[in-house]
Amino acid sequence: MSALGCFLCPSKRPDLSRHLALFGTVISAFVALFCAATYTPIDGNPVVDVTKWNWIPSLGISYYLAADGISIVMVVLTGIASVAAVLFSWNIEDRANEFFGFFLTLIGGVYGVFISFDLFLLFVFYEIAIIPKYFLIAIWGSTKKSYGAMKLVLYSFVGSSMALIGIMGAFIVSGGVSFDLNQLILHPYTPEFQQWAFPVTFIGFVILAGLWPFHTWAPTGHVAAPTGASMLLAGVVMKLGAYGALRVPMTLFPMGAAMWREELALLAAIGIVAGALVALVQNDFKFIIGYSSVSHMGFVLLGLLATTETGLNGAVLQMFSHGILAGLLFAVVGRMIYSRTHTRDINKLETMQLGKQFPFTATVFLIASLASVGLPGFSGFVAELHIITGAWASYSYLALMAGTGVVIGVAYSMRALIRVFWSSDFDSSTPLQTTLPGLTIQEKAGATLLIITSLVVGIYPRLLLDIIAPSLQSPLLKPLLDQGNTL
Amino acid sequence: MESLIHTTTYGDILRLTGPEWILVMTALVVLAASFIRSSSSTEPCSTRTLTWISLAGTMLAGGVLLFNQPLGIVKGDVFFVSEGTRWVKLGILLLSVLSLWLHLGTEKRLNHQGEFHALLLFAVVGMLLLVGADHLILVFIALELTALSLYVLTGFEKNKSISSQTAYKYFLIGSVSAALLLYGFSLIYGVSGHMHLTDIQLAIASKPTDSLLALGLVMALAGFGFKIAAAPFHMWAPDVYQTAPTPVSSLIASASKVAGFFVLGRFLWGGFAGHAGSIHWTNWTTGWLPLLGLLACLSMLIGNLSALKQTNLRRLLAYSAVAHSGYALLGITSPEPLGPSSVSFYMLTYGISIVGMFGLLQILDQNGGAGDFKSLEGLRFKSGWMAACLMILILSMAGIPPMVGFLAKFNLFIAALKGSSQPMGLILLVVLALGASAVSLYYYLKILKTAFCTDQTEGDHSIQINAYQFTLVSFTVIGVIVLGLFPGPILSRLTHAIGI
Repeated sequence: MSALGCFLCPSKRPDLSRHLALFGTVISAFVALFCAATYTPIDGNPVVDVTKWNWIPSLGISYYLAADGISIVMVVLTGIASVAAVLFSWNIEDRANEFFGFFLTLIGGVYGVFISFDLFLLFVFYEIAIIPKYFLIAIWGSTKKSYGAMKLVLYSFVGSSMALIGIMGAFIVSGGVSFDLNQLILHPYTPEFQQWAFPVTFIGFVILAGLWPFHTWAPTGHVAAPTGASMLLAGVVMKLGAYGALRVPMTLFPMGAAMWREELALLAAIGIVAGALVALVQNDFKFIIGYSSVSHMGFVLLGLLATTETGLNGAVLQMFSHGILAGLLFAVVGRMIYSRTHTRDINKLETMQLGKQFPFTATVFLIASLASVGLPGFSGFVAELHIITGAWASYSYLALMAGTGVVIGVAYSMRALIRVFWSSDFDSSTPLQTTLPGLTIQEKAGATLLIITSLVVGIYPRLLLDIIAPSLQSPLLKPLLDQGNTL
Repeated sequence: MESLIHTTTYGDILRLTGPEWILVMTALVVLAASFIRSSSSTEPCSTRTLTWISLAGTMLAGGVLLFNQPLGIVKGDVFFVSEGTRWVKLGILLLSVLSLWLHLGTEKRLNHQGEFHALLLFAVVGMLLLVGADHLILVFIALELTALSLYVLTGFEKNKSISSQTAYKYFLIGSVSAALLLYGFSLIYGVSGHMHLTDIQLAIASKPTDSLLALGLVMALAGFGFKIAAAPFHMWAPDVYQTAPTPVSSLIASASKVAGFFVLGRFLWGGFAGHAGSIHWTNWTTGWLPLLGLLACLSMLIGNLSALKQTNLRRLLAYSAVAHSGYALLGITSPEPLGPSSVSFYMLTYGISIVGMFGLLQILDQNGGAGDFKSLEGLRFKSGWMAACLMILILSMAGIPPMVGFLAKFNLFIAALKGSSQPMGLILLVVLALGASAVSLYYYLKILKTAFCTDQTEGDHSIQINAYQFTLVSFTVIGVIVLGLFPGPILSRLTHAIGI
């Protein structure tokens, strides 16, 4: 596991940066998979320590990397998504070394967040992941790139500041001894403190996960970002928010969670429906996917806020699943289509007979959208089923809303699918008007990797559930689940 | 503290003020050397020699401070040397060395180099004395020694009218604030009957805060506020940053701030701890803490919001410096050892990055830039090294990890939250500070965007960088990163030293 630490500081890439980047991400993905395969809880404690080193003793800060099942799943996701994202960034010619430099810094930050068990360290990695996004979007992006980039970074920064307030509060109130999560959890925070600390910290984190109404950065940011970056953004960066929310406020302030979860879960459910409805009327292909991400992340948050075991299981699964599928969808839109047709307006795409030109792309998109709306056999189904079941136990009316969201999800996916790929097929006599360059081997490899992952998890979810479930029994999450069960 | 000296003889005083004396002697030597040179040859090549002499003197002073400095108090408690002041003085000397190094890189020739260096050194002497001062008169004298030298240095380019104008403005505002400070001191003396901080503390501890004392404190705070460029006493800063010779701006922005903040903390906590009042959000009582909180709020807001609209980089830095003073004031609200150590660490690290920024600005100026955003355009293609350095320094100032700026700010917030009588009492101020940081991120990113996200234009020529500038900026960048990654030793040493 500590090998992951090596990737935290990527050096500036020379001209062969693509291969280096691919090499780096593949290696770390393998390390991640290896860790997942060998992961076994020690002495019944699911948190496995990796390194611990007194970093800044005067502030009780240590460089403490560790992992439990949830982290492992997220790390595996990051590994797979980053390999795919590098594959789909193969066409970056302009300043490739800088692109991959920022890219790897971002990935390093993400890995770091997932395996930090020292809250200060977690926050440091969280911030490290913010700044590269600005440059990735502002330099290599499209559509209103500097607006989108600035909006995204400012939203993230405000969110992380709120999270920082909560973290500092937890540190000070517990006596200012240590930032170690295992130490902080021991302090009994008063309900009065939890009552304000929980919402501040939680909202701070989930701004990055796109909680309605704080989601507006997400569609603009995704649309402006280059393909590889939007894959990472939707695929793993949004998960940072949800993961952080689970790891920090929900773990530390379970009573606060119990006080606020209903209001917040309502927001999550609204996000599911609102995101899906907005996606239904978008004409920009990428905006459709952008809003669908908001909708899917709503599921994650709803699962978290159900505060039941099933809900949490589902939330983590959904994070994984959405990470893979959103990456796939953005890859189709951004790389396979936009970089060839130079338009994302679905009215124009309609006329291009893309279904005929790119049967592979069409198939990939078909699979991805079916999987993300929850076709059994793919990861999305297992995850959303868990979440809705979990939410049903806590608040049945919200589960109904979420169910509606799924239906609308089918609608917007089918609308996009049919209009973009097959609407002009009815008139099959027209010859192909334009010939566009075919797909490259990297694109095919990336897409296949993601599809297979989703299939494997969909068919055999126990692969992940077996890792996640024991972690939910850990002392870290126990108070939270106790709170959830008392309701 | 068994090795503590309680002086009785001049010899002891000399030993205690060793570094200061070395600097004074260097200044005189430099002054003399400039005359020798100019009479023997007409070449003005002696500038660099003079700078080297000054550098040698400053480093010698630093060496003495580091290896051979006894601790003690001058009889009558006028001046003292402790572990804490030693470290802060070392920081000031480091920043002075960097500023002098900046002068080595200057290609613009100014007349009267001897005086320039001598005044610069005198200003540093003033700062060192300020750090150790325990007596109101000495505080005032040291402040004035620094300020008067800096007024002259600011207006050093006599032939430029803007330069004289700025120096005049600086002088006017400065002398008014000095008058306020002195009047405040005299009121404090009138109320307490003492000039020593510790005696004042004892004399007024039992008394309620009466209006005369309050007036004195307000005036003194106004005077110090000018020194550290806290809003609303910051009016001079943008002009001075913009027009003063770069090494001078850099000295004002870094070392003089360190000294100013340190003495402010000592003055308030050393003399008036009993009259602090409280700004706990549920329990507000009068005292100087609410005033300090007000200064901090105003500085953070005015500094950051004004910086948003600046087009000149130096003015932008000046306004952002006002905001940084606001953050640092948060740390002052916390008593020893957390407060002073976090503030000193913050100002030191901020000083390092701002000196680096001035180094970059100097390079830009010498390559024909006008010091505005336009001169940054396409920097990525003109010099990748500069662009990378710019990014690291700016991100450090914006408080993004792993650069040290983040850690210093974090440490400051922790000190503010922990230090006040009730934990979390200052939470609202910290929230404001975080919000203000988000605002600052906007203009910092605007700078980086200009440097990185503009397209390559035809006819760009690469940038000329001399070796001095290269070493200076590289040093600050490395410093910012290394301190950010391994702050442990310095931070705990500083906290420990100030705690003694």
